[in-house]
Amino acid sequence: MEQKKRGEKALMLAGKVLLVFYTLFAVFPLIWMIIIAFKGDSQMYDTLFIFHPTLANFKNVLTKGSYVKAFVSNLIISGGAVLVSVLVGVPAAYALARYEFKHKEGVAFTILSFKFAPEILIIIPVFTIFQKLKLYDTYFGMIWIYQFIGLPLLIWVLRGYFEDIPVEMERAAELDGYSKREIFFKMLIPLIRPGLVAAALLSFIFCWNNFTFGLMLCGFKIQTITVSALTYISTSTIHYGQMAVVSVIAIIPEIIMCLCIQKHLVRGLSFGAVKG
Amino acid sequence: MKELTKKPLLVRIRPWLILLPTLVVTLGILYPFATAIYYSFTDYSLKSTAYEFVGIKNWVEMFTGKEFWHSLGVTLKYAVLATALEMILGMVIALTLNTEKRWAGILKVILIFPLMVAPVIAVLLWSLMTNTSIGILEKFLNLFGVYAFPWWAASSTALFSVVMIDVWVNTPFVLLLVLAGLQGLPKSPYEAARIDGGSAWFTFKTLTLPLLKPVLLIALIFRIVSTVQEFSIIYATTKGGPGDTLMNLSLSAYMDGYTYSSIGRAIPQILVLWILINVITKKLVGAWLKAKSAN
Amino acid sequence: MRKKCKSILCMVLAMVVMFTMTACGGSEKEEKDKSDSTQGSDSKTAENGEFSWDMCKGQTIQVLFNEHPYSAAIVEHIKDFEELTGIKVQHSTIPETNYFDKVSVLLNSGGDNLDIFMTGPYQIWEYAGAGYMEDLEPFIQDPAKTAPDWQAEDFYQTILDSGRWDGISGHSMGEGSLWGLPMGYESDVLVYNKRILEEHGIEVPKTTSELLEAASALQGHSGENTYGVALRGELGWASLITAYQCFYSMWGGKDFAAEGGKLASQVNSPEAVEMTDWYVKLIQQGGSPTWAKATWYDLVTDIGNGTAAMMIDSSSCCFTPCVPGASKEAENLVVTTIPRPDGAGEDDDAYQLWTWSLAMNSASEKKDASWLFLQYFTSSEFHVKAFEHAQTVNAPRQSTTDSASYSAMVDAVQGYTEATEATVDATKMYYTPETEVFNVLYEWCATIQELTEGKYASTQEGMDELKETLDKIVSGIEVKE
Repeated sequence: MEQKKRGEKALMLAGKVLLVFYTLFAVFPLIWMIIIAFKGDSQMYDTLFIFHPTLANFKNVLTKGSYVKAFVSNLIISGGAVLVSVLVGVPAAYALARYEFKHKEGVAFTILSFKFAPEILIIIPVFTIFQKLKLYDTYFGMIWIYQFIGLPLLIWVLRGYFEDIPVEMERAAELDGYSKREIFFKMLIPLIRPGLVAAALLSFIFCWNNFTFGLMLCGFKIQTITVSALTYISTSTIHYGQMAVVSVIAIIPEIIMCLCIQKHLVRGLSFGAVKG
Repeated sequence: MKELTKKPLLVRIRPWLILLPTLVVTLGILYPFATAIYYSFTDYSLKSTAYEFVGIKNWVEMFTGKEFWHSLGVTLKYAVLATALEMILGMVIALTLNTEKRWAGILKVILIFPLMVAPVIAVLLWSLMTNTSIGILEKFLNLFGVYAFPWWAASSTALFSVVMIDVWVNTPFVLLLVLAGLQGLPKSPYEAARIDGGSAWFTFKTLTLPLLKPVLLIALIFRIVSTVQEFSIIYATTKGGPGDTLMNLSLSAYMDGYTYSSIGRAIPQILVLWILINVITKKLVGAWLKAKSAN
Repeated sequence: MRKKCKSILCMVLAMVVMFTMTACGGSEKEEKDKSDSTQGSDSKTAENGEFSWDMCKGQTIQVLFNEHPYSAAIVEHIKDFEELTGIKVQHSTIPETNYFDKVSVLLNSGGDNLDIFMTGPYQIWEYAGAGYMEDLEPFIQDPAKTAPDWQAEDFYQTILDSGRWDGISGHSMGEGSLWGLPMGYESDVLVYNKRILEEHGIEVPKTTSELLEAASALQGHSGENTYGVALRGELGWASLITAYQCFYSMWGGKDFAAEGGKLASQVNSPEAVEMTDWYVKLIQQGGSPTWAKATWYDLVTDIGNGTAAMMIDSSSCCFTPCVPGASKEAENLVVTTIPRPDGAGEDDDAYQLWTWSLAMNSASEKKDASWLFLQYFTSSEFHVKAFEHAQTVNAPRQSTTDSASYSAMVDAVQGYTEATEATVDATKMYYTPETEVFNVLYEWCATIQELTEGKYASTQEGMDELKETLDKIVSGIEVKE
C-alpha cells in the first residue's frame, strides 16, 4: 500500500515536471515573439532580453503596406464563413442527431470527409469555377470556400450535443404547448451553446489561419493575413521585428475571442463523448 | 387515405430537408473534386491551356517510380510521429492539469494559444528562434556546449525539428478536447473507486481511459487527417529537403503540380493520399461509434 | 402542423442563406459587367491619333507583384500614374516563395484576372513558350502608343535583350520577341569582411583553391558558429542560380547538349564533377553548418553581423548589407569579383544573370492600358526615383546609373562600382532555355544537398545518378535546330 502511494506520488510529480516543461515550450515562443516585436533592427543581434523597446515596428506595419487591409478582409472572410457554417451546420447536426434515416452515417461521414479533401487537390478546379462564375477575388466566393474548413468540425461537435439532450425534454415542452420554433431557440440553442461557441471558435481559428485558399483564390481586392504576413520578408533589410509584429497582430483577435469565451471553451468540446 | 400516404413521405424526407442547406453549400465541392479526378487521366499542365486524355499513364508512372513509394513512407512516418507525440503529450498534460488546483485556470487558457498561430507564422517564429545568428534557442543550446544545431538543415534532425513545430501548434487541440472530455466525466464511479481503494493507475486504466475513448478517438481522427496531409509547415521550412528527406505526398504533389506545372502528374498522388485518409478515418469513425454506444 | 412549422423554418433558413449569398454575388457580378463594357469601348480611342497618357482613361488593370524593393517602389508611385492616366490600378503583392505558383495558375486560366506581372528569365521559357506573354516590341515601335521620351536605347542593350527569346527550347536568349522590360538586373559577386580577413592574415581570394583555403581557415574565425563563406543552400532552384551556376560555367561546365533532337544532361562531365566536388568541399569545410536551410536573407544576416567572413551571391543581395548603417559590419564589407577557377582567365568569366522584368499577359483585355503602365514604370524618369527609393542596385538604364542619387548610393559601398564594371560584360544567361528548368534545378539542388551530407560514395556517382534523372525529366522536350 505504502509503495503504491509512493509510486503514485512519483507519477504525479513527473506529470507536474512535464507540465512545467510543456508550459515553457508552449509559451516561450510567444513571449519571445512579443519581445522581438519591440526590438529595433539594430538591437536584434546583440541583445536578448534587455534593450530599449521601440514602437517603430508597429508603426511601420500599421502605416505602410497592406497589412491593415488584409486584417479587415480576413476578419470578414473568417467571420462570414463561421456564420454560414453555424447557419447551415446547426440544423444539419440536429437532423443527424434526432432522426434515423437511410445512409445517415454515410452522410455524416461524407460531411466529415470534406475536412480531409486536401486543399491542393481541389484548388485548380475551384479556381476554374471561380473564374467562370466571377467569384475570383470576391467575398462571396471566399466565404463559400472557407466555410468548408470549419463546417465538419462544427457539425460533429453539435451532433454530440443534440444527442445528449433527451428527446423526452422536447416532447414535454411540446406537450406544454411550446411551438417547435420556441423549443429550438429557447430550449435547444441555450443547451448547446457551449458546444456551439467552442466549435465556432475553432472553426474561426482554422479559417483565420488558412494559407492556400487565400493565396490562390483572391489577391487584388481581397488579401488574407497569412499571405500578407509573408511579404514582410523583403530584400532591402531583414525586418525581423516587423515579422514579429505581424505575427502578434495576427493572433490578437483569436486571443481576445478565446478569453471572452474561455468559460465555454473547454466545456464546449465534449463531442457528446461522455454522457454524465 | 391521402393523409396516410403523404405523412410517411414527409416524415421520411424531413431530415433531408433539414440537411438541405448543408448539402447545398457542400455539394458544390463535388464538381471540382470530380474535375480533379478527371485531370489525373490527362496531361493537364500549367504550361499549356490545351490538354489531352492520356489514360492511366500518370498512374502507371507514379506507381512504378520510386519517388512515390519514398513519399508514401515519409508521409506515414511524419503522420505517426507527429500524431503520437501530440496525442500522448496532450493527454498527459490534460490529466495533470486536471489534478492541478492552483494554476489550472490560467494554464487552461494560456496553453491553448499556440493553436491560434497560423502554421506559416509559426514557422516564421521558430525560424527566428533557431537562427544561428540571432536565435534564442541557439544561444540557449550554446550554454550546454552545443553549437550550430542544424535543426531542419540536416537530414538527421529535419524530421524531428519539423514535427516539433507541428507539436507546438497542434498539441493544444488534443489538450482542449481531452480537457473537455475530462470535465464531462461522471463523478459517481470515481467515488466508488476511491472507497474501494484502487490505485490511481488502476482507476485511470479501468475508468478514465474507457470513458475518454470517444473523445480521444475524435482528437485522433482530426489530428491524423491533418498530419497525413501536412503541407504548410514542411513547405515553409525545408520544401521537402534536405535532399528528399521530408518529401511527403502533399509536398511532392505540390512540387509536381505547381512548381513543375504538371497537374496531371500531381493529382494521382493526392488521390492516393485522399484514399488513405478515407480508409483510416472510416476505421476510426467505426471505433468511435462503438466506443460511444459502449458508454 | 408542428412538422410543417419545422420544415418551413428550415426552408426559410435555407432560403435566407441562399438569398444573401446570391445577393452578394449578384451585385458583385453586375458591377464587373458594367466596368467591362465601358472599358471595351474606351480602348478603341487608342487606335488612332497621337500618343497621350490619358488614352485609356477609366480602365482598370490588375497587377501582380512579387515582394521586392523594385515593386515596393512602384507601389509607392501608383497614385501618380493613376492621376496622370486616369487608369485604376488594382495590385497585389505575393510572398516570394509562392509568387510564381500563383502567376502560373493565373496565366494558365486564360482569364482576364491578370494584366501585368513580374517575371524572371527562367520563367519566360515556360510562359512565353505557352503563349501566355505578349510580345512588347510592337508597342515600342508604335509612336501612337509609346511616349517619345521613353527611350528604349537608354537600356543597356545586353540587359534589354535578355528579355528576348524566339520561343524554341534549346535556342539561347537574346533574339526574337521581347517578353519583358527589365526593372533591374542582378549579377554575382563576392563580399568579404576586411576586418576579419586582416585579423587572420588572409588575402582576398582570387582563385577557387584560394577561396577554399581561405574559407576553411576562416571557419570559426570569431568563435563558435562563425564560418568562412555564406552560400545559399535551401532546397530550390534559387540556390543554384547564383554562386553555383557561376562557378559551374567558369569551370567550363555545360548543363545540356543537343543530341539527336533531344537534350542530354552534361552534369556528369569531368568539369562538372570536378567543380561540384570542389563546391561540396567548400560547403563542408568553409560553409555554414546550417547551409542546407540558408536562404538569401540568412546570407545577408550572417555577413551583416560578422558571422560569415565572406559571401557569394547575387549582386543585389550582396549590396544590401554593405550599405552604411544597414548592418553591424557594413563599414568592413567590401565587394569584389568572384574568384576564378585555377588557370582560368578573363575569357572564362561567366556571371549568371537574373532580371526582374515587367511582362504583360497575352490574355489581357486591356493591353493598351497595360502598356501605359509598363512604359510609365520602366521610364528613365521613374527608374531614377525607383532606385533611390528602393536603395538597391544594378539599374538597367544608363541614365539611372549616371544620376547623382544613384552614384551617391553606389559609391558608399566599397568596391561595388569596380566589381560591376568588371562583371557586366560577362553577365548573361548561361542556362539552356527549356521548359522543365525548375524540375531540373530542384533535382540538381537536392543532389548537392545529398552530396554535402555524404550520401554518395563519390561526387561522380551522385552526378551520374543525377544525369539519369535529368535526362528523364527533359525527355519530352524536342530540340529544333
